[in-house]
Amino acid sequence: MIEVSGCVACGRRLFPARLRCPLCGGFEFLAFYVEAGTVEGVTSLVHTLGQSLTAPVYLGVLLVAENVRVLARIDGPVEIGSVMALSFNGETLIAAQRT
Amino acid sequence: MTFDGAVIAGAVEVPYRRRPEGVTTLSLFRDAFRLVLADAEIDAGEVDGLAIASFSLAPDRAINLAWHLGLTLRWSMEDTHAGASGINMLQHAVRAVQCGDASVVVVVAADHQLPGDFTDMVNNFSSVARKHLAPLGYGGPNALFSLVTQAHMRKWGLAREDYGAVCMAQRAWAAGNPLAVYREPLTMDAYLNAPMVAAPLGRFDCVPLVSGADAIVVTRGRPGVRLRALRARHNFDQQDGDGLVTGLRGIAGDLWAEAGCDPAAMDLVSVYDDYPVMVLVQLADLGFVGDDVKWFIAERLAPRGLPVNTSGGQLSVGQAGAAGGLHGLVEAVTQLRGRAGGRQVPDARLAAVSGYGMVEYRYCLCANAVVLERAV
Repeated sequence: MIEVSGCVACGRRLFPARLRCPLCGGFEFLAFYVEAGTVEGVTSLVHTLGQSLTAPVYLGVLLVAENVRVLARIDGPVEIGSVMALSFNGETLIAAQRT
Repeated sequence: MTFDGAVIAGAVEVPYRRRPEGVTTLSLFRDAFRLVLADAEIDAGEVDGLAIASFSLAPDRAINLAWHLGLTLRWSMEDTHAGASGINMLQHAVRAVQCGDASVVVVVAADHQLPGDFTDMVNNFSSVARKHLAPLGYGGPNALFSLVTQAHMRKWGLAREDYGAVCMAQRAWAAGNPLAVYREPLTMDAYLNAPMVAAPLGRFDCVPLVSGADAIVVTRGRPGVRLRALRARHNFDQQDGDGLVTGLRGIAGDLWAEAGCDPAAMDLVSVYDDYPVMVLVQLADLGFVGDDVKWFIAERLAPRGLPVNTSGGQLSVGQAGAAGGLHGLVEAVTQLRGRAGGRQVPDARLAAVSGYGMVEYRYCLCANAVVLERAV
């Protein structure tokens, strides 16, 4: 699961975290946890910064709550609409097939 | 408040180059400064305002550059809004001149970056990039805008060929620009068969990293290009959207009302072209496209009936870091002064220019636009 912040005043979920809620202006937040997201897009990065990669890096954008989308590494090509489990591997946000 | 009195009296580009030898960011700033004052026929001793943008000037700042150039200033600023920096600096410089805080402002941007510099920059572009993008191995904005492009393709029923047509049209314009890094015609086969970068983006969808500089002079009481309207909207959607709308959508109505004209009156348009999808998004937000994007590409952009990015844009000229934020502005001023040579739009009188920049998490935060008019 991953941590997203939620505004104490209005409940709005945010990722990445903010200093002030863009919806109600609140400054107080609590941590909430999200276990999964729905894939809205995925790309295979094969060339970056002047170098070809030895293996594609799959990056996806996943909807995890209303208006909240996260970017995550995916271990391979997946269908748009797939629901995937989310976790942090060290600092890297990972989306994996649900088992 | 109108823009009366202030004019853009000079505009130059120091030729962009791929990995040039013997160049530094400071030398590019020097060259742009010297060239733009010559272009405007203004003596350096008259300059009392300086606005700069650069990713690679650090640890120097605007005032350090002023010292290097021997300038004594009444007004100084440094802008960090990347693809929106050119119009942002123009916005401030015009007001400074109108209000008397400065009389001659040189607005200049330059960058000389090597691939290693670029890697460091994109991984530390912001606190969010450092914490949430760099660990993904995202490698810069290509991966992010591949996702934006995918969403755009789904929304409008477009194919890779449609974005190829955008790139080909700009390359055709570049053929008339001796300063463009890439001038040879681009074919659809070459576009489609180029190495993939991040699906669906291939090599020709991604701006090549170059070194270069751009500059304009803002002053009053001289011949020059004048502003009809300028508007900006930054962080308009809190990054809640899909990246297919920019802040330009919200300012277009006021922009055209202030300008006293509409998109159909424009003789040319410069939009910030880090990726072809963003060319289409900005043109749509400004009111040039209508409801049929595919038709617009085939009937207006591809045959170059609507002159868009007539320099060839950054997709052909290259992206010189923060200088890219001034590139479209310099091209529009060059066209309105009738100095565009083989790519000159006949009798160009009005131009629209937009800026777009500053990736936060999934797309950019900043957008602005200006309508320019040839001096009569």
